[in-house]
Amino acid sequence: MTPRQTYAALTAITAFAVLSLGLLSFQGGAFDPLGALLALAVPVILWFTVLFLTRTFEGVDAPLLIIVEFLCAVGLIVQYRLRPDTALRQLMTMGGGTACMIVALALVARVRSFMPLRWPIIAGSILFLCVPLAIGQWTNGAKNWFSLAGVSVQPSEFCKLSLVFVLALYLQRKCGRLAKWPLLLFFCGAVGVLVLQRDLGTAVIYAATAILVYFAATSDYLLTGAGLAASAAGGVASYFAFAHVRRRVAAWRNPWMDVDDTGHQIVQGLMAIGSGGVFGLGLGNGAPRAIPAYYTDYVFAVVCEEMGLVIGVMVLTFYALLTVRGVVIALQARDRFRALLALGTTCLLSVQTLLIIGGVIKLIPLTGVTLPFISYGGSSMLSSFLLIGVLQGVSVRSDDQDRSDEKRAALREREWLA
Amino acid sequence: MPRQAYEVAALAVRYALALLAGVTLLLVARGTVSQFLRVVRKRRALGDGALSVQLTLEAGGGEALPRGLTFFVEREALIGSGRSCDIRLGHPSVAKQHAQATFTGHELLLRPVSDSPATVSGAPIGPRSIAHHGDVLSIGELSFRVTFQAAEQGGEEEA
Repeated sequence: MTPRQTYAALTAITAFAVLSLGLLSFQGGAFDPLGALLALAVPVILWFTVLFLTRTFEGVDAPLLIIVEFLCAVGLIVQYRLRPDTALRQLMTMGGGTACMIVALALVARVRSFMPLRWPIIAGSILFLCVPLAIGQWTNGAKNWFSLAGVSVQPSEFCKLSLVFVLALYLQRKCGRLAKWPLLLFFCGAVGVLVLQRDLGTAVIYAATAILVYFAATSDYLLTGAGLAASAAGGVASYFAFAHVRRRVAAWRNPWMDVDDTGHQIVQGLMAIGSGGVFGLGLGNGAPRAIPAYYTDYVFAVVCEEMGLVIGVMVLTFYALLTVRGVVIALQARDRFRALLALGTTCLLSVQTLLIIGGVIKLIPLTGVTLPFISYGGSSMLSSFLLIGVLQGVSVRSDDQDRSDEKRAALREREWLA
Repeated sequence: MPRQAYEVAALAVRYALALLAGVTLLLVARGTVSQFLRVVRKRRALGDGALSVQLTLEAGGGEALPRGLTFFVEREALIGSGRSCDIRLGHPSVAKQHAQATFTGHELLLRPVSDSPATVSGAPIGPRSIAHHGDVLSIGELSFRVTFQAAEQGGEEEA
């Protein structure tokens, strides 16, 4: 992207956010100053993030930043429309997420070796994942979060980051299968804890990412096939073991059978998407509160209802472009470790998006995961920003790389001496 | 603002929103797909194979060109004694433009440019001769050992 295109895109998103937030500040009948505050704050975060990062670090992927900022803007608009009292919190999470992203970027770009950290990462993540089992509460059939000083924390979101790091650390070298046992241990431990917490959606995301990254790193058909078979077996087993999985599958196969109970959420979501039509009902004109989990998992249905199929499809295309950019960053990474890191983060984000949007449009059974950058939720927002930070860190040209380029140039000089 | 006025405003604004989102999308999408295809094509050319070929001078150079002198071919290189060559060999037995080398990631393709003698493992090179890792390439009186340089494996040291 040339600087001019970057400015044009930033201007378009700014206009998008200001227009919708300005409109929404009148949704209660009288003017709401919070809307004006948000309309002011979003462009500030947006321009600061993109301009600061592209000027400070060489090689930052500007289109990727713009995709993320657009999705965040949509998220904030929808949250302000749905629950104005939580919009300020979402804005603060967005700011905090941006800060986290910059830190992750700098760390991945600058730290030479993460290898000494592998055991602390493995042990710390598994322990962290177990915390909700000890002090958490069951909500919506899962026990995957705990409350700390008034802030709810969902460890499975943050452990995604450790998953990609552990995968990349152990798969960067082509060595025997047996040497990778800590990876298997970590993976089985993490997925096991997630299943104990009944957080099956996140377990699916972890498994899909691990299998994909493993195959990309090793081209090992045997173990990849075994992993896929084990996942399929696990899926079938969870169908028979957990009643709520059976209910979800039944609701997916025919939600209209039991519109008032099991199929309620899917039916409400489909009706919301349908009533939106091509251009939507207009922000603030819909009835999104009929859908259970309207501001977290089902936020995509709200986007479709009020902003229409057009923006719904565009949001999907933005996620697709995010995936493509992630893969391009992985292919151009300077070493195998960073390539696998980039691939892992891209996989996590795209599998998660696929799972929840597929569930909302009744393509696959519904799993309760959040939509990255749009859903309400601090943990989800922060972890998504951290993942993007890792991706950008891989993309950034580091001093190391410059030095190796210099070495190459020097070698070439010597060749020409003859 | 009365409710009806708000609803009408929201209905009007939705078109502008769709337009603005579309503009952003086009700006971001432009180039992303073509960049992806370009990178994939480049990767496919390199494959899983080596990143460059190293040519190490083994014999025939005399005093001007010492043994162990190394040259690299990353994609394409013109070999000869002339100024335009990528690999310049200042030796009387080497023609101004002697041979063309192309590296695919899996094999080194060689093509004669002049009539001057060049062989791969003893056989004179034709329009599509192939050298593999470990072969001996001779250009005039100089003979080189061909070694494929593996892709760099990770930037991390095993602790």
